Amino acid sequence: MAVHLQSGNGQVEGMPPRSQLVPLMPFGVGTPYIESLSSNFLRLADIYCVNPGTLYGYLRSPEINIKQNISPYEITSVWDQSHFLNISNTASGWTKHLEELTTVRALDRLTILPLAGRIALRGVIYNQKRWCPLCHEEAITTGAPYGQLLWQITPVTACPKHRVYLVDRCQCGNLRWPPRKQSKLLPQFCKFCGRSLASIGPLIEAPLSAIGIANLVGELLKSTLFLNSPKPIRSVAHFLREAMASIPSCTLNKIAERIGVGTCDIYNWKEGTHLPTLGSVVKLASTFDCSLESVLSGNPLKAKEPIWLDPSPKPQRGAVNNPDEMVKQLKDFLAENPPPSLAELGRRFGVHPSTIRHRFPEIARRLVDTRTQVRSAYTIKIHQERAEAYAFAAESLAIRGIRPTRERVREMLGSKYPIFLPIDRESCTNACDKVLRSLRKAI
Amino acid sequence: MCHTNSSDESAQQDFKKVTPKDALNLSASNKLLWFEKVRFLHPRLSEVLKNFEAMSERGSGTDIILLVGPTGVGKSTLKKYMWENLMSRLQHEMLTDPGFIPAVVFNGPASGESSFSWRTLYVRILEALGDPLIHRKHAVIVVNGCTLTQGSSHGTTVSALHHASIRGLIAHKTLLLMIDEAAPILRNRHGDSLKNAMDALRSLANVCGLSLVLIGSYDLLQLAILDGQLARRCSILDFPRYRKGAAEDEVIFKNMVCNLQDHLPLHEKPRLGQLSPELMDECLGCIGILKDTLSRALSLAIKNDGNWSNELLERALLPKASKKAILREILDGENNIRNAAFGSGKFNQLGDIEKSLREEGGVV
Repeated sequence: MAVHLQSGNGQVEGMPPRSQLVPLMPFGVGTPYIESLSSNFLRLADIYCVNPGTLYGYLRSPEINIKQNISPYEITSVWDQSHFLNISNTASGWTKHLEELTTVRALDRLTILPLAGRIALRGVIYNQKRWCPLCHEEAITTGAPYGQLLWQITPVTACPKHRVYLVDRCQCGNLRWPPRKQSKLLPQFCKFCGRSLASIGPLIEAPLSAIGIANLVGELLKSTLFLNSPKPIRSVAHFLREAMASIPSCTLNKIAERIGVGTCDIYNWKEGTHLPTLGSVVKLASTFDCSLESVLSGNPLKAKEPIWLDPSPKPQRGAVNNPDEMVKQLKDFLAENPPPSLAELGRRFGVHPSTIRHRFPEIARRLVDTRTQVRSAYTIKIHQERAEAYAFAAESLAIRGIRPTRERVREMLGSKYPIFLPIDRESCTNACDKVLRSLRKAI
Repeated sequence: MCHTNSSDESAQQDFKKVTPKDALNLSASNKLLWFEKVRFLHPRLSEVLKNFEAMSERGSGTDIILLVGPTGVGKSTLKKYMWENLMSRLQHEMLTDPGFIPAVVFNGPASGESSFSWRTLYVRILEALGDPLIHRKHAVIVVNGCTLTQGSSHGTTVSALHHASIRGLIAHKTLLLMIDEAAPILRNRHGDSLKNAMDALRSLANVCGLSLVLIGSYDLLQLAILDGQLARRCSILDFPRYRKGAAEDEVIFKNMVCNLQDHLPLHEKPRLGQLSPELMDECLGCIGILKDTLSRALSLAIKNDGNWSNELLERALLPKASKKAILREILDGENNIRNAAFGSGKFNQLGDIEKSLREEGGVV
């Protein structure tokens, strides 16, 4: 008989109460490179050698199960979705729940929950996984790779440490959908193919403006606003009111023009009836040359008078710095399977996509054609594969004497072949009808 | 692994505060339970405990500790003391780190299968660590640079459980892995198979940076002499019985008899000190056997309206056949352990060893 070990959660006679889950300390606390909750959750699942989806299902409690009709696909990827890190019930529910289970305090710092009541929810978190391959490479050598919260914040497009653009696509092209079930889900691996995300190239050097924004947001992540999460007593409204009162040249029109929003938006922010997006707050901070913390905590003491007469020159449309180099790189991208979209290339080169189309029409056309061909071939293949699976499932049901219907096929196949899109629904219904017709003929 | 229920736990907690005087007022069944919980730290036990602490220290050069001794000598009591010492020593660390589980203790997996079940061993480790989803573990493989998980649709695999055990022990910073009644590890294993099993256990201890403690009878001795590498990393800790004829042992045994006699929850305490030499013979010098005998006699006395008599004690003694079987095992074990246990090493022994090896014909 075991003498000491008593219960299923490691609680033992003579031992102080243990945490129910391993207290996994987040990386980078107090720095701009703080870990995200998604990454922490993936590492926690890895410690227990289980799929994160399995752990999610096991830990899910009624208090944090906000969405009742959660689909199987969502269960297997909820930590990847933007609402897991956003100002949302899901994020607050999960942070509290994980804090209880692991006894690690202040997990809300791994999300943008400390900004609740200060900024608008819309578009703060990027809806795909992003990363800096050089950061991953560095972290892998030290044995502690993790995903940073900074990478997931939408206005941030560059790594402030390595001064390169963040990457959101693996070499495999993120083509497999849904992600392969066998891929190891960890921050440093691609969820589609399981390859390391550290060795992805070519990397593009980020312009100073992108690095500046990343630095601003990074400073915010290590500020007292994030570390202590004080209640939002003062806000952007206070900042605007006091800045406009102290700087005579500040008018609604001038601020609106500089930030690129309407005058009524600035008025609403000033009155506190609406909240600005994080992107707008970043622009406000750049305009007044102060930190994001100052703007968000309504402290205009360090705000400087903007130089209104000297607005930054707008980039000339169609201008390209080094056309020969760009052609060479575009040809390299053309060799990828599939090549990136023009929008993505535009972002990487810091130009408008239409500039690529107008300056290099031949390459742009080939890029678009190749990408379309590869994607459509892949889509056709996926749909064929699914149609075959539906037909097989329908026949199996019929053989067992069960009338094949779409719902039964869905239940039978589970999350492996989800039926989401109209084309899938139609394909499944057709497969069931075909089996029924053949049965009727046989009778 | 057995789990005691909450009422037992609360009773156990209460018994800690019950004095021998208070025990007289307990119910009949609780009197027996209380007496079962009575423990004494006798000199031999404390000596073994001290040696164990020295060997289990990090950097002591020992990966595996084999704690061997005759059946009923008090190995399980020793295990409890080891546990309590560890808890009191690491109290501060445990309070600062709520995930720290310094020791994992369980009984050797005897699942009824013909050979030792690694799956059961890993499941026991994971249960002790409080791991969730034990039957949903996956292993990780790397194929062409892709890191993939490998699981089974019907549950988990042994390799996944092994991987999960290692991850769990490392994550909880476990220092000691104690397996009581470890004899099932030897079951149906000989030669290379036994060596492989020991290598697997040693590797587990090595990878996780912990000391593995196997507790059992003298059968375990064969594990330590399988090969040179194992012999180097493995220490044998002998927990011997008290011997008839050794004056000091006889005095200690008599003291133990008197101590136990004083803790018998009876209004009229028997005078067992006079019977100490006979009891030492009947219990083969083992304190555990002595306590079991007194427990049986106590049960009979309680049934007899709380009246103790020497006839009842005699009825509670071990039968002759049982004694013979135990004694044979003890004598064999004592013969084997003479030159193998911790502390038996001396200067200038090499000449004797070479001589004996030449006599055996193993060395030319």
